[in-house]
Amino acid sequence: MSFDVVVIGGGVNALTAAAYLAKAGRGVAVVCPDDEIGGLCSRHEFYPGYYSPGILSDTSMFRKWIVDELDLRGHGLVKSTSSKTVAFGKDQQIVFSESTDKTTDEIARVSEPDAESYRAMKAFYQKIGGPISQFLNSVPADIVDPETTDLWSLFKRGFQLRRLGKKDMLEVLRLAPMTVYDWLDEWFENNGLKAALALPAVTEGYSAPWSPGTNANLLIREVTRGPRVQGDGLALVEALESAARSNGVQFEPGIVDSIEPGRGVRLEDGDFMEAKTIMAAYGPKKVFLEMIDARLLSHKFEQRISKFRTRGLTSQLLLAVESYGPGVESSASRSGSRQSDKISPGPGNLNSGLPEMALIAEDLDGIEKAFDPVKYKEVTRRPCLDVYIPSEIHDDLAPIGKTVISVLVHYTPYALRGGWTPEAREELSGNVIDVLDEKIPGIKERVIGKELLTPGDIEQRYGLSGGQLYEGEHALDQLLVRPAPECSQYKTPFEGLFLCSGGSFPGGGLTGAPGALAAKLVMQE
Amino acid sequence: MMKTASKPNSSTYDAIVIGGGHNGLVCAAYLAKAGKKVLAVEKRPVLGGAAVSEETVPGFTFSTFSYVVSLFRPQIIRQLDLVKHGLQIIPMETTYNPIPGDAGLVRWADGGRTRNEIARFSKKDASLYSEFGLSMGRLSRFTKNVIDTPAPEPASLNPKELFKLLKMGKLFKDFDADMRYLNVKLMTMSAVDFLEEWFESEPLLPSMAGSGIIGTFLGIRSPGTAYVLLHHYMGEIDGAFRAWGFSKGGTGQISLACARAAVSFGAEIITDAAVERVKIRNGRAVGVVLENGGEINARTVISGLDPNRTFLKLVGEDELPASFVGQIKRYKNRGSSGKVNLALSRVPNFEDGRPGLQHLKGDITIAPSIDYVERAYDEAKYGEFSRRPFLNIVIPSLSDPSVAPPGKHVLSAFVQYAPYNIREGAGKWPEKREAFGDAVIDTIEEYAPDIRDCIIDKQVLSPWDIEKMTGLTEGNIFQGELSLEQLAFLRPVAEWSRYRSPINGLWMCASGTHPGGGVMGAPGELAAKTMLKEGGV
Repeated sequence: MSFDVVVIGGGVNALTAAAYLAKAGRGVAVVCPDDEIGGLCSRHEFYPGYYSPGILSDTSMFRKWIVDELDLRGHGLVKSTSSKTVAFGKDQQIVFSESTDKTTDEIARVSEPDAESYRAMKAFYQKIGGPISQFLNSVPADIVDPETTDLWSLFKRGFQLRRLGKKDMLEVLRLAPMTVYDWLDEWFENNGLKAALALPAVTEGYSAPWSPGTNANLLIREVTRGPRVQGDGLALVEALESAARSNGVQFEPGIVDSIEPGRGVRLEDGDFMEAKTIMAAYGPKKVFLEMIDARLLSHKFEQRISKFRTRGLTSQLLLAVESYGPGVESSASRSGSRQSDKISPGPGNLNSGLPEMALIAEDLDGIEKAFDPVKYKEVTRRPCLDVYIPSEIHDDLAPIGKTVISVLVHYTPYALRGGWTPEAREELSGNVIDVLDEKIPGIKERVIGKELLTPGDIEQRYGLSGGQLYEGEHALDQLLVRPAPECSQYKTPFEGLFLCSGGSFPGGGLTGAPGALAAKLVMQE
Repeated sequence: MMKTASKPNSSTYDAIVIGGGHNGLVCAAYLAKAGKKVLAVEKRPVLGGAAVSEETVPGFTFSTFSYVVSLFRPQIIRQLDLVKHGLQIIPMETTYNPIPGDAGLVRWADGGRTRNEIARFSKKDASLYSEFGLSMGRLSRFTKNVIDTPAPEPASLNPKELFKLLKMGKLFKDFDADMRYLNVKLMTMSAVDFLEEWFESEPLLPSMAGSGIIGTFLGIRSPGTAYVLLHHYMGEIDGAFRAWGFSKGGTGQISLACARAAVSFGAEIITDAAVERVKIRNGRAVGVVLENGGEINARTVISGLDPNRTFLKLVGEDELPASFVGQIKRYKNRGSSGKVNLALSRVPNFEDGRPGLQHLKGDITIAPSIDYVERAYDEAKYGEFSRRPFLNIVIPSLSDPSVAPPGKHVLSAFVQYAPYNIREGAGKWPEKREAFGDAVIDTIEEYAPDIRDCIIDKQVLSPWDIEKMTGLTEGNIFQGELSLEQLAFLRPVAEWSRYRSPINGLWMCASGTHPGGGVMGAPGELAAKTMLKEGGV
C-alpha cells in the first residue's frame, strides 16, 4: 500500500487535513480504527442502548474558512441558529443563544448594567478580533529560532495590531496575560454571568479564574467564536468524513504500531503503509514518545516533548436517564424568575424540557474552589459542570424517549490520593449528580446507568496524554511555542513527518485549524 | 540618624518630590546633582518610606517593612557616591529551609557544600543545581538591561522608540535558541512548573519557588510567578555578583545614604510634613499644599507615592481625564503580605542538630512543601490570612550586632499571605492582628520550639497597618502588583509608563512605575534621568 500522504488519527484535525490534501490532488489515506473515526467526537455504548457522543461537542470555534474551503455545507453541515446554552448560577439562569440581542435581553433579567456591558464587550471583541484571528489562523512565527520569514511575519502581526490604534493595541497586550477573574470583574457584577463566561476558558489548562494568563484563553475563544454546527461534534465529523471520502481519501481501519519518518507507518497487524509524508493527528507526546523509535530522538528534543504539560483535570460522567417528561421545571424557574422560553424543547429525541447544553457554576470563587482540592489530589465536593444532552438533538443515542447526559466535570485530578477506587468513583459521581439535581431536579432518581471517565480513563479511551482534553494545556508559553521549538510550525525534526493535532498551534478543541494549517504547509512544500 | 526640618527654607523650588521613600530620595539626589533646586517632603518623622529602620523597642532597631536588599542598582551607588554617605551592605551567605525533626536544607555560598546538602534529598537535583544557576545568570543579563532602561513603547510610531524595541529584540536575538525558549517559559510559567522542569525534591522546590510569590497575591502554582526567580540571580552588591544582603544598621540606612547624598548635592528634605494635595493651575502642577496649610511652589512636582494615592487623593478625579481615572482605578494594589518583627533575648533553637549559628545568618524560609505554600495561598484567596503561612525570616543581628543590645537579637518575619481585603473587611484588621501574629509565632514554634521564651517584645503589621503607616494603598509593598499586565510599558497604566502623567508638570518616580517594586532605586533614577533629558525640570 503506497500513498502520497498517510494521516494517522481520525478526529476533526485528521479529517480536516486529509480532506484538504485530497482536494489538492494528493493520494491520501487515513489510518484509524473504525470506531475511533471522529476522535474526541466518536460514540461508544456506555450502558446497554445508551451511547456517548464523545467527549468534546462545542463546535462554535470550528473555523468558518474551513467550512467554506472544504465546502462542508455541500456535505451536510448546517450552522445552527437556535442552539442555546443555559447557564445555571445561584438562584438564576441565563440562556445564551446565537443572537447577541437575545442573550443581552436574558442578561438584562439578572442585571441591566451587565447587559449593557455584555454588548460593549462583544463590540470590543469584534473590534480587536481581526488581527487576533489572523494570528490564530496562520502558521505561527518561530519566535525561538526565527528566520527572516518569521521576523517578517512577526512584524506584520505587530503592524496589524498597531492598526487598531494605540489604545486598543495596548489594551490587547494588557488583557492577554490577565486572570479571567480580574478581566470579567472589570466588566460585570453578576456572579453567575461571570462564572458562565469563565468556565470553558479557564478549564483549558491547569488553571482556574485566579490564574494569570487564563484571559488569553477567553480572548481566543471570543474572537474565534461563531454559530455552532447543528448536531454538534457528531454532525461536524460526518460532514468532514464525507468531504474527505468524496475527495478520494481512503480509510484504512488499522492501528498504528510505529512511524518510520520518510518511509511510512507500520500497523499492528504487520502491514506497512508507504508514504513520503506522514501527518500525525495524535498529541505530540504520543507521537514522539510512543510511536517513533526512541533512538531517533535527540535527548534534548525528547526532554522537551516529555515536559510538554498535559495534566488532565476534567472527567466525564455519562448518564443514562429514564424518561424525563415535560413539565419538570428547573430550580430557577421555580424560584420565581420569568418562565417563558427558558428551556427549549429540542428537535431530537423528545420534548423533555431539558436544555441541549448547560453550564453549572455559581460564581468565580466557586470555580476556583472546585480547582483547589485537585491540586492536592483530592475529590472536589462541588464540581462545576459543563453539561451536554445530545439525545435532545440525536435520536440514535438512546432508546426512544430516554436521555443521555454527558457531563464534563471540573475539576478532577488525574491521580487521586488513595487511587481511583470504586468508592472514590462513586463519591465523585455522587457529587456531580447532586449538583446536577439541584439545578435540574428529578435527574437523580431517573439515572439508570452511568460511566465515569477519569482523566486516566480519558487518556486510555481517547489517546489523550494525561487525559488533557486539548492535547496539551492551554497556557501562554504552550500557545506561543506549541509543543516545542523544534516542531512549533507543524514540521518536525523528521523529514516528511508533520504534526496536525490540537497539540500544535493554535491549540486543541474542535477548531480544525491545526489540521488545515498543517495541510496547507504540506501542500506548499 | 539625620536631622531634618519640618518647614522648607524657601517657598519656590524647581522640583518638589512628594514622599521620602528610597525612590523619591534617589530621584531628588539625581535632580540636585544636576543643579536643580529640589525639595523632598516626607509625612513621617523618619525617612525611607517602606525602606525604613526604627527603634520600635528600646535598643532594638527593626527594619520595619523591607528587610533585605538585592537589586539596588550599582550605578546608583556609584553615581550618588552612596558608600561615602554611609551605605554598607552585608552579604547574606545562606538560605535555610528548616524541617521539623530534621537538619533541613541549607544552601551556602559555597557551591560544593550546597550540592552535598541538596543531594540528601535528591542526587539528580544536586547535579542540576549549578547548571540551573548558570542558565538563570545568563538570562538575567537580558533582564538587567530591561530594568535599567525606561520601558520601550511598543505602540509608538516614533522611530526612536522603534529603534529601542529593535535593540531589545536584538538583545533577545543574541541569545541562542535554547535561552530564548527558556526566556519564553520563564516569563509566563508558574514558579513550580518552571522549576519542576529541572528539579524534583522538596524542600528545594518550594524554597526556590517561594521567592516567586513575595509581595504578590499569587500562589507558587500561578502562571507568571517564574520570572521573579531571576531576581535571585540578578542581585548585585558592590558590583559583585552576589544575591542578597542586609544594609548595616537596617534597611533605613539605604534611604538615609540616599538622603545624605541628596543633601550633599544641595537638595532640601523636610519631614513631618504631609502633602494634602497637588496644587494645579490651568491643568498644570505648580506646587503642593501641606496638611498643615503651608503651600510650596515648584515648576515640577514629582510623586513618590503609589499611583492610586497620587492621582485619586492628591490630584483628584476632577482634574484628570475620565479614561485615565478608569485606568488608575483598575490598577491592582492588592496587599498580600504582613510583617512580624520580634525583639529576642537570644537566638531561638531550631533543633536541627546543626552546629553553630552560621546557617541562620541568611534567610530562613518556612516552605516545607509545595502543597504547604499553595494551601497558604488558597486560604488567602477567600479572604483569610494563612493559618500556616509562608515565612521568610531573617535575624540580621547575627551579622550586624549594631541593631540589637549585646547578646540580644532582632528577628524579622515576612508573612504571606495576609490579604488586605479580609472577609470581614479591611477595617477589621486591628481586631484580627493579634490572631495573625499568633499564627506566625505558632508557625515558627513548629520549627524553633523555644521561640516564645525568647520574645521580649513584638510588632505585628498587617497590610492594613502597612497602609496606615506608609500610605501604600492596600498595603501593597510594591506600589501595585507585579503581574505581567502591570509591568514595563503597562506600568502603571498604558500610555503613561514614562514617568509622566496627564497633568503637565506632574511626574511619577517610584515603584508604581517601571521597573517596579523592591529596594532597587531604579524607578527614581530613571524618572530623574528622563525628566532631565526631556526638559521636565
